[in-house]
Amino acid sequence: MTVILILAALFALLLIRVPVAFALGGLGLAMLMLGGFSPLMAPQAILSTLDGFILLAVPLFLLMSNILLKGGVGRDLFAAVHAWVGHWPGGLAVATILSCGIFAAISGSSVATAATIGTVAIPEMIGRGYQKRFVYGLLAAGGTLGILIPPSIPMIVYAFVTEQSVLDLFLAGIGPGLLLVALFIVYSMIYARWFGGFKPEPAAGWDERLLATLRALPSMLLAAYVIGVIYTGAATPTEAAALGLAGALVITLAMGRLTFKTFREAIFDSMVTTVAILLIVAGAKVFGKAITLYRIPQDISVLISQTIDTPLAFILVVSIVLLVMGLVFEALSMVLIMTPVLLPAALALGIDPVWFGVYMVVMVECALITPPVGLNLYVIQSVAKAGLTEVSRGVLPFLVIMLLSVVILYIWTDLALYIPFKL
Amino acid sequence: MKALSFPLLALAWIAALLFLLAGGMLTYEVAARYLFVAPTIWAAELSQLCLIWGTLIAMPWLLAANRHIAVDVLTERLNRTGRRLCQGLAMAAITAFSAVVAWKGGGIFYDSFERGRTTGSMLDLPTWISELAVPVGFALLFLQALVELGKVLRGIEPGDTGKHGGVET
Amino acid sequence: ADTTLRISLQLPLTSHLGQNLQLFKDEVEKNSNGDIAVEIYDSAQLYKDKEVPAAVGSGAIEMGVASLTRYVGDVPAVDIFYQPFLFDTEDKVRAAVAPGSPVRGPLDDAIKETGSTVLWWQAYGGAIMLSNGAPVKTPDDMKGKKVRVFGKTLGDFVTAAGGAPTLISGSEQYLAYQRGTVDIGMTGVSGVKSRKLWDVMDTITVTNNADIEFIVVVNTDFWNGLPDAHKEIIQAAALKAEADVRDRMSQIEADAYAAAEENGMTVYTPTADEMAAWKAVSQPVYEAYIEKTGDLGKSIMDAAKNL
Ligand code: NA
Ligand code: NA
Repeated sequence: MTVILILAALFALLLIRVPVAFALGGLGLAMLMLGGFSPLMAPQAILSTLDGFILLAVPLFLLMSNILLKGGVGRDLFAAVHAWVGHWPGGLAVATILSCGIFAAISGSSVATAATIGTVAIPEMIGRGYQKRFVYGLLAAGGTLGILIPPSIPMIVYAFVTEQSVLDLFLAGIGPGLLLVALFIVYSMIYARWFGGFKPEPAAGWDERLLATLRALPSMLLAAYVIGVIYTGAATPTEAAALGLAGALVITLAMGRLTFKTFREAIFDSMVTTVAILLIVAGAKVFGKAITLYRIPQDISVLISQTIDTPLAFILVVSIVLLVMGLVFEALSMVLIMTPVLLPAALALGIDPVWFGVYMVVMVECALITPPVGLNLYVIQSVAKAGLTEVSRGVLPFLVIMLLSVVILYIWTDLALYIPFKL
Repeated sequence: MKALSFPLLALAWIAALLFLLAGGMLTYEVAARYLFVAPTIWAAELSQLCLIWGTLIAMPWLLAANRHIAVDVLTERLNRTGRRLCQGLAMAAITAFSAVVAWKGGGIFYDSFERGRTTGSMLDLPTWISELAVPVGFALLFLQALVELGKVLRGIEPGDTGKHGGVET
Repeated sequence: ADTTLRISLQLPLTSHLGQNLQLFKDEVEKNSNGDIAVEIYDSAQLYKDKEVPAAVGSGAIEMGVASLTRYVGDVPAVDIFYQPFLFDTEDKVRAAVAPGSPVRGPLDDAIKETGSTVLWWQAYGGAIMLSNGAPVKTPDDMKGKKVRVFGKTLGDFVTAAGGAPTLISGSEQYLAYQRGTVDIGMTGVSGVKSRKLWDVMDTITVTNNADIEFIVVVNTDFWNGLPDAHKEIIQAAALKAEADVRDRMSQIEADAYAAAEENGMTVYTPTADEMAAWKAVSQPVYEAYIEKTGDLGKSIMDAAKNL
């Protein structure tokens, strides 16, 4: 009963357009005061969140990718990949997915990935006769790779709330990320073979390939360097993000791609995104303390363990709940609200917390592309000037592929866990 | 009412620079550790202060510019009166929340300040340096929420000024 | 229940401090016939270790467990237990932490002024050093090396010995050793076992350069408002819990050393001469302590030296 009241109150606050951060924080504070707990917990929780060294990686990764973005890295990447694979069957679609995958290694956000590659790829693909619906779906879904392939802001946040290692989560995202890239490519090639009807392209010459690759190379090397630094432990993820930021400045300045104006835009945009995200994390922490003191996660955990006794049943139920929640919830708040509730039960069933984090991220990716609330849908909608319905329909086959990847991830857990723990 | 908007934008820019500064300090930290075998004792703590202060002082500008993440599903389907009603209720909720957080956060700051409590970390800074950011940020948020409430009463829509919300995750 | 005690704990319930709280909970709930309920919020669900002093002191939560050194921001004198080699035998530690002893008594009183009343102390063992290839026999072995520390006083000690201190949290330790972020480790020996640090470090030097203590505190206003009968039950359970964990500690440490050796670690105990060299470089740390803590620190330091 209490749970239903709390959920109803949260929905009401969100629907009247209270910002997510203040809806969570405010409801948490109200619950604390109604339950006879100290309201001091609210400011303490906010301060404690912002005092987390792990979360310092959020603005730094955003700065790094925004600076590269202003330096035109999206266009460079797409041109380079396109020069190599453009003449394949469905080559433009393959190039789009590969560009999304590579940009995902620079950016921690799926919205940025969808917007960056979408801006370049959508006009090109539609110009070549690809069906609009397929193009929109491809980019909305391809963009979600941004949070599965490291770096990833939702993974940083998950690591922060569960006290897992950011490094382990980043590494665990690589396998499933590559799998999704492969599945998307296979689907694109099949689609091109049977539902083609677009103009095939001539293969690019070697000069063109070389030149395009050289242009894209510095940012690709920087992304590899950052993940290498994190992997070897030469620096913490937060410090590596700082090195990445410094590297991004050096590259864009050396290539003459950064003006004072674009630099200012990059740092201001990064600030806005950082503040919006971290305040949601802080608000969710206040809410999380309140529900913990109401013993809701504990009770749900007990309830789950009494009614569900296999990991398979657990993941099935949780997947359905997350899919439904994902229709209307903003992605990050979904991780923040559900992780404290679900993780104790998952651990009790012997599910690895790092695996569970990767699984949550894939479910969040689904939420990003399901209507009515799906940030990636909105991005493609605005980049392509298309209708939400058309974009949503186009996403459907890709949603099926992503759910298929969840099945594979469940059956073959090493897809995530091999790289961090067995390599 | 206009008088508040320039200082808020200035604070937002300071926040942007603080985040950039944090990146600079941590880059220096890694260099100091590997090149000179001399890890700093200040980089981690001061960059954290940048994050705390930056986030909290930029928060009111985000409200003024409508840049916080919010759910539009219902409000975008309502007519003008419905939207005004929702906006009014939302701002009232923020006013109440920020007032309590600013007040209670102020108490935490004052207590540490009075006692001269320090962090006990390598730099051993006074704890109030970070704690002060909460009452400052939320007091400004409270004021801005009041301003927004005033706009609702005068019939100005949230979308009429400032960019549309929306942020990357 | 008439009274609910909510306790914030940083470590998981399975840790020896968590088990100790469980013992307290069982004892209190049994003896009060359910009039007092104890709820343990483990694994930092509510507060991190470093937030506990402010959370309990302000009454945001009734009770909490924090490492003693977390009070250094309020009561600098608590770092007497991190003064290098001051409590290097179990007998000295036991004498120092006995309730009302000239070392502990004044600290409990000073902590009370922060709004928290100390209910009991939980033993965590001595600090040891970890290294690869060779033990850290003397300060010479530390010169120019990066050393993990978990507090400012320990950092001052490392600086005095010629090393470069780096503050690294418990959970980041394993990676920091594995990847060489620091060259020398410092931790309680039970941490070597629970975190399997033998995968990444091969030598323990039994320096016992600091004594790690945790304290369980209750908000003073809340405590004063309890009926006397409840206070008695809680105090009795606290004393029982305190004795239990103190008695277990030497066994826990012995098990940890045995496990470390089984997993291929070398355990080195410095000779008397080597210890003298360590103590010789530590003088500035003692002086800095007295300078920072004034009369209170001086009287505690004198009492500690007389144990
Ligand atoms: Na990414
Ligand atoms: Na959705």
